[in-house]
Amino acid sequence: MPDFAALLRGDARLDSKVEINLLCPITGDRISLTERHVEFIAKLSAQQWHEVTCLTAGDTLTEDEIVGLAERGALICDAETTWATRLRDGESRLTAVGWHPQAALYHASTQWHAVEGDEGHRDHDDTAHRERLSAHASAHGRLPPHFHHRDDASTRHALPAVAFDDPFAQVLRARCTTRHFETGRTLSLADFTRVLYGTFGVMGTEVLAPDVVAVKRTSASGGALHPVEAYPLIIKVEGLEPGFYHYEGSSHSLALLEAMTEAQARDLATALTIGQTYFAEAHALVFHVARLDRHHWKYRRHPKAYKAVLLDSGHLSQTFYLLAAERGLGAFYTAAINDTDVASRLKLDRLSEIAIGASGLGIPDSLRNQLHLHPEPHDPDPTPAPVAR
Amino acid sequence: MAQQTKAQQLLERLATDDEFRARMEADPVAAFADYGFVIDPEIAPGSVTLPSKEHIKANADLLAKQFEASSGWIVFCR
Repeated sequence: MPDFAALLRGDARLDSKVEINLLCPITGDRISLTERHVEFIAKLSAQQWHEVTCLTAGDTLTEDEIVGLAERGALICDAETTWATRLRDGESRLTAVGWHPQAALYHASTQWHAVEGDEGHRDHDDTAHRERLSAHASAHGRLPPHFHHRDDASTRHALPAVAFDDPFAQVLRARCTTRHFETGRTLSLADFTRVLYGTFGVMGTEVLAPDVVAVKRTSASGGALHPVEAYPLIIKVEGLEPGFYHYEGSSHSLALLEAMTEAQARDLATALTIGQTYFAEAHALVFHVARLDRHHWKYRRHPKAYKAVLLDSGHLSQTFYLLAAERGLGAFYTAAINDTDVASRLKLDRLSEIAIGASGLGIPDSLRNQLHLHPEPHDPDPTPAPVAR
Repeated sequence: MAQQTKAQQLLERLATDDEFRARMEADPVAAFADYGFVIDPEIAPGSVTLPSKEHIKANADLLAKQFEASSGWIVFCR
């Protein structure tokens, strides 16, 4: 942060004092501590309770200071207050779900609430975008080159040309992100259902052990657990009332959680995607919400578990894109969401259900073309880079 | 995060907007309040001397490098 006092005295500089902060994996709060606090906390056990009166002997914190730390969320205590109960329950929940401690900390401290970017009202033409990129390059140096070569390769083999133009390849080639949709038209239920079912529908199940059932979708999932649930925000789809739904794979049906008007649904889409108004033009968004209690049941306190869950959402996103491309529909995926607000709106248990991102679907508006990639076809260079000698 | 964004916006305005700079010098408490910041209310109106616009601009650029990426670039796929 800037040093405001210095600013008013004629000096512009950052406020760079050293601080000690405790990051709470339950609330995501950043709790300021002093060196005395740290010294005190370092002597406590994470496994056993301490009587406060036994901790105040000698040159340490007073009882009021200890209670103050607990009230700010730095310590778990057995008080029957709302804040103390919340922390105790949260700690138990983190353990029961099987969170990896560092993943819980990262997740809690990177949640967004009511963030609103300027994407919805900034200039998006090619010139403005180029100027922003140039300014970024001026501040941070050149972008590393788009094609990467290893200087330590001992040899290189040119591979045979691939005729990548069969129907499947054409769908892959057609995959793109769309950010302009025809808001006056209604997306057919058949198109919406095709993409939703093709992405999140259950192709099959397999009992791996008693009460342990794997799910087969069209996308890969760690352990075939498929923890990512689909929560469609319907805006303008044939036969469906606008609102927030949960897709139930067992019966291939939509469970309405909150009805709203089309205008309200568009406003909500904008707010949950931090002001990306163009995404609110879509006919439906589908929020990806992972059930970590299911996923971490197997991968308990696993260093790679959080990453694997995010990858699941990525797999589903790509399948969603391809199904949309196959039908000539527009699609997108954004990770820039107010995840805390999604959780509140959907009444999720925030320690076991996490919103990761949102796919979107709609009828593309072919008359508008800003914000889209227009790549030149690339033919591989027949001359490989020289090898190391 | 939101505070960082507000601070960046405030610095950028002080680096470009003469009218706002004059207001900051005349009534810094109110000018900071526009961006949600509370400063020492004892600061006497008229006692403020702002750095040059160029100096503030350089500071804003430095601050931008320290930012969490909550503004500027949006993470979406293309």
